Amino acid sequence: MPPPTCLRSFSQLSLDSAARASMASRARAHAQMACFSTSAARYANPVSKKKGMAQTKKGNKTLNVKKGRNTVQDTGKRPAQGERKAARKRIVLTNDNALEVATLKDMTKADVLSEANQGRVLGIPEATVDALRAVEAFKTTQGWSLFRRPATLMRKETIELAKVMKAAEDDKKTLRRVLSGERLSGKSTLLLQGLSMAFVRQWIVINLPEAQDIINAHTEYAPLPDSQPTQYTQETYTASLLSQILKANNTAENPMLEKIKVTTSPALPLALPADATLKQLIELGIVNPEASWPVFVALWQELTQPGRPPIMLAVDGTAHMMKESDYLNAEVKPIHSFDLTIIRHFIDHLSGAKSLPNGGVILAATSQSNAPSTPALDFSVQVAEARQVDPSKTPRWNPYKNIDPRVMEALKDLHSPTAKEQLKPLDVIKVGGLSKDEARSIMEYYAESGMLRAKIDDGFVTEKWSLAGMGNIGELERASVRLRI
Amino acid sequence: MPPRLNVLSLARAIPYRPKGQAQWLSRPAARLAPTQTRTYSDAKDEDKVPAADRSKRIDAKPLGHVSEEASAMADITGGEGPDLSQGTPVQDIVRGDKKAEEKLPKVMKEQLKSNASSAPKGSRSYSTSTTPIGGGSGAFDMGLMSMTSPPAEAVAPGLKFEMPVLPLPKDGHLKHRYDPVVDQVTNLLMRHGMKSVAQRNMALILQQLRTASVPTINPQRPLLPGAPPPSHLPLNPVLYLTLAIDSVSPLLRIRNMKGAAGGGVALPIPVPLGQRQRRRTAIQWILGAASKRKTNTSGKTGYAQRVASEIISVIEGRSSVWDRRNMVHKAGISARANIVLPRKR
Amino acid sequence: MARGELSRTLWSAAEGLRSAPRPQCTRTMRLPYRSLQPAARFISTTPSRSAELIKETPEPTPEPFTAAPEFQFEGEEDIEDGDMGPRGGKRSKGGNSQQSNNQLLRTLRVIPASRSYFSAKPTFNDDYLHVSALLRSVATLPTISSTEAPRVAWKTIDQYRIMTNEPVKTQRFHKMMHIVKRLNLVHPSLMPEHIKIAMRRFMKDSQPGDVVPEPQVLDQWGRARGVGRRKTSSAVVWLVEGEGEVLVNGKSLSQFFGRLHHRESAVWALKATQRLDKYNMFGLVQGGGSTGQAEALTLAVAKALLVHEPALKPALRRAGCVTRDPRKVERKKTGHVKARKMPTWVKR
Repeated sequence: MPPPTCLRSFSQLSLDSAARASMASRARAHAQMACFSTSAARYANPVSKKKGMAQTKKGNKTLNVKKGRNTVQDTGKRPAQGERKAARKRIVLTNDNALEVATLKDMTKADVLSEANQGRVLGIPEATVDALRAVEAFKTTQGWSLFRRPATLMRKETIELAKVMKAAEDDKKTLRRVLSGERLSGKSTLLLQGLSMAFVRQWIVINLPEAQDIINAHTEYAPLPDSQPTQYTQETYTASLLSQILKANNTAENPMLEKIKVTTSPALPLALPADATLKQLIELGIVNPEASWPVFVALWQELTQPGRPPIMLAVDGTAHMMKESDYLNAEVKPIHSFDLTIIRHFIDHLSGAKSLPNGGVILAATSQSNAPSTPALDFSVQVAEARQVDPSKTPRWNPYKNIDPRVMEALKDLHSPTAKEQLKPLDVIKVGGLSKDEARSIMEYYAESGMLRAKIDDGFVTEKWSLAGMGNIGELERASVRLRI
Repeated sequence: MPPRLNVLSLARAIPYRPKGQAQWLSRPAARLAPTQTRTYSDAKDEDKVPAADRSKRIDAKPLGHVSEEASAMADITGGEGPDLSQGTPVQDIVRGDKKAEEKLPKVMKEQLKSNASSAPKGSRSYSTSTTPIGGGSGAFDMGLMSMTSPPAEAVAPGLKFEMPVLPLPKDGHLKHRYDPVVDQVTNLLMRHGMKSVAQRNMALILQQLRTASVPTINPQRPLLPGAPPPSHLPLNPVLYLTLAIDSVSPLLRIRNMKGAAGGGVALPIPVPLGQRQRRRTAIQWILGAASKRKTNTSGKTGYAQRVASEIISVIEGRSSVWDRRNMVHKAGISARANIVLPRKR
Repeated sequence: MARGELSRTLWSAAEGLRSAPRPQCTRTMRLPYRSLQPAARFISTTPSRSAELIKETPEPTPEPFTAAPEFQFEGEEDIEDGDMGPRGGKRSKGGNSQQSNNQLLRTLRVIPASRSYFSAKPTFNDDYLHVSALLRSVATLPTISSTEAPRVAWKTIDQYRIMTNEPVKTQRFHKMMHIVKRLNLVHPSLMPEHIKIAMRRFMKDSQPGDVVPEPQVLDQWGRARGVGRRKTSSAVVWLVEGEGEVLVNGKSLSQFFGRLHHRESAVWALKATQRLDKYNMFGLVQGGGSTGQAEALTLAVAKALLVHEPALKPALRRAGCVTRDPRKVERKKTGHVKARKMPTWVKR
């Protein structure tokens, strides 16, 4: 954005609280309001290569004045713009060379939440894989590309999560879980398992694939009118989130959103046809990004009507949303992440300020490899972990650390003493090491896939288990499949 | 009709069995001198041996007829020997024995000649491929592993659990824990002493080989004899790598000897290379060809991907490394006249 | 006199000695039969022996050396070795008068204790003759192979030269040591005691295996302790029987070592002997970088494992876990840029 435009936008931003009173219609205000962004739209579809256009630049010949250097100028075809990054970010979920595992069973709707699955490797059904791909649950760092098809180990923590989901489904409770654990211990994979179980059980799944993408100021933002204190919407991001929701929850096998009719009368800036389905509502938001946030609010209102399926709301990289974002407000002060509407929506549900009438699970996975320092979150998680072990011994707050009161307030349920009931509404799932039986099960899967060339016996399993730092599953995969071949 | 008297191949087919524990026993003080005469392992054979000699000793008796010997050998190894009731043609017996061939009747000689000239044109009488030496059985190391556990031994004094089987497996030493080829490639990948980066690249290369599609072999560029079918390769990436390197490794290098030709002209002399040297040359060719490729990804995996795709193209016979090897071999053939062998005394 | 002639005369003298009634060739060099020739004055070659002699047979009246008086020789045949006149007398055919003459000569002439007295390296020659005589005496005994023979640290040539104070040539020394080493191969159960004593002269003062470290034992909680070092790192490891849990400085193995290679190094002793699932390990390591720390742990674990199971030593040796790697960073020298690098040469 050129500087004059930028300045104009800022002035408009400061004016808008004064001008808001005089605004006649919100729709027009939206149209006038300049959304500003510091970078190109991240979620725009990649530019398709047009025929006849010379997109790839040939290398220019430069003057080389150095003596005795007859360097060969590289004049070959250069990769197209974004091609190399796309190759880096590509998610490969199949390896044709890997052997088909005959004993591998899929998750089924009937028994996905049963406890009998513990220690078994279950495949993810095709439709669910597509849905998971749509919500960007797979990561490039995970080892999906080595095996014939995605499959996961139902470990102890997965069963714990399954129990939570079962309780939420049966009793229409809102249960919130923070996934913590050391590096490579499988937090994101556990989140993925939660999502896939939700898909299999035909929940509504809304996943924020990476919290960093919301707060790192790569998408445009605008203040939300009539909000006190001011909140900020991210229209492009919300629109792409809506398209993800539509793609993931409205699959060919289960066209859930097409079946549900809009029952409330949402206040939208754009006209919605009468007798519309949720799919049409979402498409409205996708096509008109400036209306995406009202559409999201309307969609949420629809989904929380009685009789609708339970909701799975998940985020990865939670630490990023527990601090101030990279966006600046009119006073050129950083905006707290909680003032971004999407994050506020999530945090309201995580903290328990809002609940899901049809039941549901809120999952927040932390990360150890890409996380800013958030003392409030770390401390809350530590307290909850310690309380699970021994309620009388909880760590004390280090008064010299900088506390974020809003985060503390949001996570105050983690500090509350353990209730007598079976399941706390907000708790931590500590993702630890695998047991040796689980390790054996997953290593047999590796061996049957042809990726691990060894005889799986107790000695071998324990050797790898020890080398992986007592069963850390990511390290186990590295030690047995990736690094030692 | 199966080839009758292929004694050489029989000897090669005898599997090599590591001796296990017995190797560590102290050597006996007295050693038996190897007997010069052949002993018969079976007592049953004793009566079959033609008793041309009056001696009662088994090893003093003469050998049976060639075809009898071959059939006996085939019996032992479980193969199909010559039919004893028919007898063996003379040509088969004297095959490969130049002196005996000279004594053959003219008809047979001509027949032999016509057989010899029927070899396909353009095929070489010598092989340019390398075979691993000292690999035990002489066959290619397929990376097979035994699924049977070694027998557990009784717990000896000074032990709490069973003794590990000695000698330890090949990768049991702290300093030699990786496959030798992988180790060599890793070290050649290493720049500025950053071995952990080189090891990561090596793991990425092997991973690329595992996930890349099954290679198609170019018949023009045959791999080592005894190589497994290409569909087996991705599941055993170390074998994949070894096969690529050993298939393009040159047998020799040309040493330019200064002044040997006189007048300050260097004389090219072909020098044979050892196995490690051959591999080193091949690896460096492959790495050089890989660094000339274009990166098609950004990030840390770029170099590993290029090396992996170069290895695949070597297996598929598309790589320029093959031409390089052929050039070296051609130069070696043209320079072989310059070899001065030590004079016999 | 030419050297050859001297040796010839010496030889003939020795011949004469051998034919004498006193069986001189049977005596050892160190214990001369003093009792048989009480009046003879010996000149010994080694200081200790001369001291011994002086102590035991003190000369009451040290008479000054003078030229020998004129002798009256009855037998004309004795004149042929005029140089060594006194000994030549022994070869005469007998007769009382000659015996008395010999007696007389013995009182008058100095006879060296050692036959090598007139050689350049008398001690060495004595030693050589002695060990060859010993070898002759045990040559028929059964031997064992050199790998099974008791391990002995022999004296180096320099140590031997200092001991004898003679410029012994390398080749000759090795010839002698060859014989001594052959003596060492005699089957231990049949080895005569005096040969063992004689061989001691050629051994170093300290022998391998002299210093036996105190055997480590498990403590009251069943832990074995091992210490290992590498580069500038040092590690202490406690090993107990368990299920394969590993903690290094209170962290799990994967948290402490980011690189799989280092993790494997740290537990290599257990991995190579298939005991990773049978012990729990707790280690403390400090100093140096991660490679040094990992390989210090290797040694420490191996040593601790040897406390539990001493019979694993050959296996651990083959796994390369027992040897301390002595390499260290080479120090920087003055005048150098680094340890070896020299500053670039500049004209002027």
